[in-house]
This record gives sequence, structure tokens and C-alpha cells, in this order.
Amino acid sequence: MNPIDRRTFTTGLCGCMLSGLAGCATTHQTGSAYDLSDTPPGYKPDIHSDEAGLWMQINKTEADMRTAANRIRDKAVNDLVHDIICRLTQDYCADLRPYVLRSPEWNAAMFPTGLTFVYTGFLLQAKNESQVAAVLGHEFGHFRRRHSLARMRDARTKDDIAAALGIGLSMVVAGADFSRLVNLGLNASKLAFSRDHEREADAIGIDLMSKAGYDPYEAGAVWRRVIDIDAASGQDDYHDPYLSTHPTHEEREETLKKLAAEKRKPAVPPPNRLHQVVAPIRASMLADQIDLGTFKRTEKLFDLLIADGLNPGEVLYYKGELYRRRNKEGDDTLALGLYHEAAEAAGAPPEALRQVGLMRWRKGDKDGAREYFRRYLGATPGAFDREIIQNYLKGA
Amino acid sequence: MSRIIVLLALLGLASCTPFRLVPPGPLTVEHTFVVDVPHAWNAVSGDRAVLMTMDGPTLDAVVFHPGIEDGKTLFYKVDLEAQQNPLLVWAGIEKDLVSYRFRKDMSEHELMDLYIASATKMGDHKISFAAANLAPFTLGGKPGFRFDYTVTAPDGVHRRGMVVGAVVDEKLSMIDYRGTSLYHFEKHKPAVDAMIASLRFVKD
Repeated sequence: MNPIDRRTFTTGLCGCMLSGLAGCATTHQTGSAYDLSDTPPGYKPDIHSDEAGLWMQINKTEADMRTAANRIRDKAVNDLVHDIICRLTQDYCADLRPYVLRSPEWNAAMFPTGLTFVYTGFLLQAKNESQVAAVLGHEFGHFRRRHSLARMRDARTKDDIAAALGIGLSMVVAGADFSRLVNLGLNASKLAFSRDHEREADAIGIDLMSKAGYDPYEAGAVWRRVIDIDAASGQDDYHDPYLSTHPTHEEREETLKKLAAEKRKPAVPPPNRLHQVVAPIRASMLADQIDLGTFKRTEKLFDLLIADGLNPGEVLYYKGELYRRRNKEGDDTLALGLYHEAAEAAGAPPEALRQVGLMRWRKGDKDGAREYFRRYLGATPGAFDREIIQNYLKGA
Repeated sequence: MSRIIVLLALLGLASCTPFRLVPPGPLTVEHTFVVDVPHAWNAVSGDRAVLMTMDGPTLDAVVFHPGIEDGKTLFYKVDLEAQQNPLLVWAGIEKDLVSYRFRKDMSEHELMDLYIASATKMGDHKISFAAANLAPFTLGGKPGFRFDYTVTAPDGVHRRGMVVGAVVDEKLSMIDYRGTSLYHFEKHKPAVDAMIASLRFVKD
């Protein structure tokens, strides 16, 4: 191996410095987080930008979502969500791709690429189509104002500041580590930035839903329902003024009520296809809520749905299931009462009849149980459990 | 990878536990019942369950749930109350969580529901079950139940399964067998059926 000469060394050094600068140009091409223009319809980021990197990550998520086992394939449900988005967003409709996912959590989101997901737990909790429009309009506010990109850039800038300040302060006071203190302050700043985005998205959402013919007062009502359910579960909206990503539910309800007062009430009744469209998957949505294992929260949600008056028999049956599964003292009796009530109410599944039969059998009322087993088999000619029910009828 | 983790969690399989080879012959499962294993099988102990597989747990799996006691969950991981911070519980700050537990007087429908709800929870709600053919069944000479199911997990592979079980001495014992619909379920089903037919409870 020959020793390296001075010229080669200098050339190599220059090359390293240039490639280092090129590296800086790529990885630190941030742009400002604070004066981003709106996303125009049909927008695609420059392939060399930091935004393109963000899109690449989201596209990977979308690829998984496309084939997800818990993706709801029901065409009517997907068409409804897409139609609501198109009514709200007009020229952006072709850019937005909604996926309805089976999950009992209350959530929906719209990403910078147009990927949008809506959980069934959110569709179940919504009282009407206007409430779905309120949340999707809010999510579109994040999309149009490019909040994800702004937050990513803001976080990166503040991380740089944190690193520089941490080093600088440590040099001034030898041996001291200020990095945690600096990080705490800058994290609070990042989260305040996030809360401002939520407020901006709320304002955009209510404006869009109002223009699309939905009832703007339902935007605040979304949060009233969330507050009521949280309160019932004994977990009120604990809010840290420095470390929360969102404003309080109460603040959002109040602000949205005020904003609604500035909007026109729709001249004609707003579209409300929600319950008719989700009816075929509603039973699985209710069952999934029970599987979450949150008793008080689920009970409150079910009570709200019963009060809404849409297929109360179906919700009463699942409320009975909620009590049966908990199995505390007296829950069997409460469950039996709910199954009875469900069995005679509109929209009850035939399983309510079977559950009355099983509960009566357990309590020793075999004749009463057989009556309900016969009604169950009569209502369900292709019952998957026919053989075992017939065993009960024979007196096993 | 996360899909595989969800799938293995669904099977009640502890991720770090090594497999062992079970030789042909009688196998006593947790002092509760004995089955005759027709040929060498791979086995691993999991969360309140013992899993055996021939071609790998994502392709085929027999899961024994031996002697679940009254008031217990099917898997420890779905016992939400047990995982609460005892200090917070003592201070009256309990989370709003209730677990679905076995009770000794459960009907066959409830036992099937317990299995599906527990497995769904183990799979982080990312799996979808459809049950069929719930029917009476005699397990180890005791009156019990059986049902079939299909399941779609996050890996998108369609699987078929069947569960047989019985409540003996107030304890629930179940055998869950599943495999890919395309091939593995049918491949190992005769051997699993033979194992189930050979089952006898230890106190007999």
C-alpha cells in the first residue's frame, strides 16, 4: 500500500466536505413550520424534500391498511364516508382515500397524502351524519393546513435548539446537565403548537360542514357526548395545560358552540344516512365495544344509543351482554331483564330470545326457557346452534 | 413482524419460551388430563395454555387449556384487573376495566363466547372470528361442547379451527385446534381428532 500524498489528501478532504454539505442540504431541508401555504388540490411534494420522506412513511402505512384484516369491506359504509368527505372538501375529493377499520376505539384521522381512516367505534358513537361530518371536516383542516409537516418541522427545529442549548449551558456551568430542563420547555412549546393546530382545524371543520349543509351545532355536540362518556367512566378529561396535545373537550365544545352561532342553520334538514348505512355492521360494532372491557364507559355509550331511539332492541340486547359478562352480584337478573326488554323491542336480534331461554334455564325455569328456545329457533331457521338448543328442548 | 406477534399472542404463546419435542405416547397436560400423542410433536408452554405444532404455530396449532378455575380468565394477559397498579386500587383510583371470566355454571354458548372474546382481546381486536356448529360433545367421557370457527388475523391468512371442551370438577378444559384453511387444517386434523378421542381426565 502506498502512503497517501498531500494532493490526494486535500482532494479527498474537499470531497468529504462537499458530500457533508450535500448531506446537510438533504437532511436539513426543512423550510419553515410557521408560514406553510394550504395544500392545493392534486398536490404532490418535491421528491427531494423532507415532506416527501413524510409521505413515503405514510404510504407504507396505507399499503398495510389496504389489505388489513380489520378493514370494513361493506361498500355502502365506505361509499357513505367517501361521500361525506367529498361534500365537505369539493375539489380535494379525488385526493382523499378513506379506509373504514373495525376497531372499537373512537378515532379518525386524515394524513398529508390523503390517507384517511375512520374507526367503527367512532361511527357507532356518532349520533348522526352531521357529527361524522364535523370530525372529518376537522381532519381535513389538518390536511389542508399541512399540520403534520408543520409539526414535524417544528419538532426538528426545537430538537436542534434543545441540543445546542444543552451543550451551551453545560459549557457555562461545568458538569451540569441542562438537557432535561431544556427538553421540558421545548416539548411544552411543541405541544402548544399542536393545540393551536387543533383549534384551527376545528374552525375549518365547522365552516366546511356548515357550507356542505350539515348542522354546525352538531360539532359541539360531538364533544358533549365525549365529555358525558368520560364522566360516566370516572375518568374526566384530565388536562395538563403544558403537556396536552389537544385543547380540553370543554373548551372545544364551547368554542364550537360559539362558532356554530355564527353559521347559518341548514335551510333543509341535513343529510342523515348514517344509521341506515351502518345497520348491517352495527351488531359487531356493539359487540366490539364490550370486548374493550371498559364497563362504565360502554354502559354510558349504550344508554346514549338507546336514548337516540334507533333499533333500541339491538342495543338493549348488547347491554344485557355487558352485564352478563361482568357477572357481579345481581348482574344475571339485570341481564335477564334487559334481554326480556330487548326481545320485545324493535330491532332486537333473535339471540335476545335465546339468552332469555338460557338465563331462565339457569334459574330453574325450564318451561319458560323452552318457550323462548322455540321462539328463537322459529326466528332463526338456520341457527348455527340448533343441535344444542334442541337438546335443551328435549330436556337435557 | 407485528402481525406475527399479534398472531402468536392470539395463540397464547410466550415469545421467549423454547419449544420442546413431545415423543409419541401419553402426555399429561398440567395434571388435568392425558392425551395419547400419535407421533412426535413440538410443544411450548404459554399463557395458561400448552401449544403444540407440527409445521409452525402460524400454520397449525393445537392449544390445550387445562383446568381453568372458576373466576379466572382464559389467559392471564386478558385479566385486566390483575394488571392494575395495586397502590392505585388501594387508593380507590381504579381504571374502568372489567375482565371476562370463566364461571363454573356457564352455558355452552357462554363458553364459546368466552373463548372468542378472550382470543379477540389477545389479538388486540385485529382478528375476526366467525363461529359455527355449536353442538354437544363428549370429552373424556364428560358432557361438553364443540364448535367450529374461521378466523382472519392481521397476516390476512384464512384459518379454520375447532374447539372442544368440558367443565369437569368446576374447571374448564378446552382443546383448540386451528390451521390454514388452504392446507394445514385438514393435514393434521386426523391426528388431532385421535388425540381428542384419547383424552381422559386425570381424576378418572
